Amino acid sequence: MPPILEGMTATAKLSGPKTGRRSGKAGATYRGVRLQATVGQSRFTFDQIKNAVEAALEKNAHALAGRTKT
Amino acid sequence: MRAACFAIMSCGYAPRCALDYSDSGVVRFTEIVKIITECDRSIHDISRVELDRRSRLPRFNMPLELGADLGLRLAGPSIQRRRKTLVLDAEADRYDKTLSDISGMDIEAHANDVRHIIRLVRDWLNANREPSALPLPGAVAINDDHDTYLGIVHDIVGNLRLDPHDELPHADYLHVVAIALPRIEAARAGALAGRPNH
Repeated sequence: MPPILEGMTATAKLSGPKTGRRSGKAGATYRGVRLQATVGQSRFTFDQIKNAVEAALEKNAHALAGRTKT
Repeated sequence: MRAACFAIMSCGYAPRCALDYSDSGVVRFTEIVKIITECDRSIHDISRVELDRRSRLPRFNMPLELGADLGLRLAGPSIQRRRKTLVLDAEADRYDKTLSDISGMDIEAHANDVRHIIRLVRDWLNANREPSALPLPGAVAINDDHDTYLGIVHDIVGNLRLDPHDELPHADYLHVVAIALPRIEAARAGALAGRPNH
């Protein structure tokens, strides 16, 4: 099995950071949970990622329908 | 690491790690301690104790970071003494040999299984919420959505003309997951609604 954490700092610090640059859009919800703003800067705009995700979901809609259980 | 971040974000928290920043002028450990003090919960995976292929030496970064966290919890300012910590390892009780000073702590074993990592992280976050808080999404649901994410991520990467997923920079990964999560949920709901009854 390939290593999952190799080469990465293996601590994930949780909760709302008090400082630090934020980007992305807060306020979206997922299964009833309000998502927090993402920390760190992406090379892409929100719209670029959103369009890429939506196009990928549309392309895979048939496969998604076939395995949707929850 | 990525599966843990996926679970953390699915539960409404913001994962922080030294990979958030890439300032080579700052000592990484300084960054890590700063991030620890800014957050009230930490997850440490001490499973990567194998010998490095080239140097034949083990890596000690993760135990060092866990030690900094525990030091804050034991002797730091009062606000830090309430912090919550989850320690993960690949094998149960292996830490008795590699890190015996923490014997007696409850450490969860994930067996290098992504689905188990997601379950452990989700269950720990759910158990450490305020009593009045609503339950977090279930581990099965998050795992299903993670599977969906893995099924579409190559197309996402292609659409963005990004590097292969395994080489996706940490910040890009977090942004992609944050934007994908609600849309995966909506797509699954749509697929369920459109499925004929038998």
